[in-house]
Amino acid sequence: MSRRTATLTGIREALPLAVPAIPFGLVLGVIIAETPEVPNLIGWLGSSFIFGGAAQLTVVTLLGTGTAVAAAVGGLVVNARHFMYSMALAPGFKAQPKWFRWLAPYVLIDQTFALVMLNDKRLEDPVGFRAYFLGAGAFFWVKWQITTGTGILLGATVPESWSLDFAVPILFLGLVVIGTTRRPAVVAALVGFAATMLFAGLPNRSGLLVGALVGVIGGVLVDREQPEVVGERTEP
Amino acid sequence: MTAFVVTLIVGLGTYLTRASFILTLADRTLPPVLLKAMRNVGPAVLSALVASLVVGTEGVAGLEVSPETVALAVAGIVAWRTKNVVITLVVGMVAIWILQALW
Repeated sequence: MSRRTATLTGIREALPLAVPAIPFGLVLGVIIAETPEVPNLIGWLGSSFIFGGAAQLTVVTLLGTGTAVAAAVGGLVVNARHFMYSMALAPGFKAQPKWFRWLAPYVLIDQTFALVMLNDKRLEDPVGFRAYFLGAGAFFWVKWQITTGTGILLGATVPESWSLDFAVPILFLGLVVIGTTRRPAVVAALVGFAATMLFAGLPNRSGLLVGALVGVIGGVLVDREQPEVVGERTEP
Repeated sequence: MTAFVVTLIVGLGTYLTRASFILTLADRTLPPVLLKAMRNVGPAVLSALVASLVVGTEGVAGLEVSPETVALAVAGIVAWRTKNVVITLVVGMVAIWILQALW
């Protein structure tokens, strides 16, 4: 496959995954605009610095209601799942040059990871894979800058009575309910929810982190499966 | 300034988590228990965040039947049945508007 074709394929396959993230980006932008602790420009910079909606929402929400330390730790913890993506893709990057190994992780998000995992044969053609991955990644990146920026511009015109900040817990709840299917992860989510309610009175909103940690441990305790190695290559 | 520093730190940390294994190409795998734990991090943190947004800093004492908690329950059921974030968001927001108008 030529480089050009691979890039276009990446963009085409990214399209359906990008649609649900459009309202997400808009809502994030509106919330940035409505959070006085986060200046608009800095909130928008988060879209290129962090480039991850859930972590950006966490940072903005906790900067608005809690401490800077809680916001930083919360954002990093939410993004800890990328360790797993990185680990799963690492074997497929053996044939890739240094510059791509440094650049690709920047656009390694939930959607690009899903695209590669859905069709990991692409990794066998290093040149085609680079064009495909960067095409899809660039598409998601541009879309994210535009939707969050648009949300910020709209933000000032959105009346408070619309309760748009309430979209945050709804989105998180939706992401958890839809994305959590494995039994240990369901247990982790339920235990994390209950434990956070119990520990909510702890200072600096640390109840959130204690609750999440209890949830993670709860999930591990009921986990009897062998951890699978995602994307392991069996071909010689 | 605080917001900028936090954004910078989380951005840098996020890049490092994404790049970690791709750059080091570690052929070693982590201990199984750590792998299991990492798969639970996302669900546990996100639902903990929902919980903390529901009860605030008052703990269980702050829990009450309000337009917010009812709308969240509705959104949770819709998410479970439809598996669709956009529908969940629309129904949840419409629910909160109706409930706030009626409450």
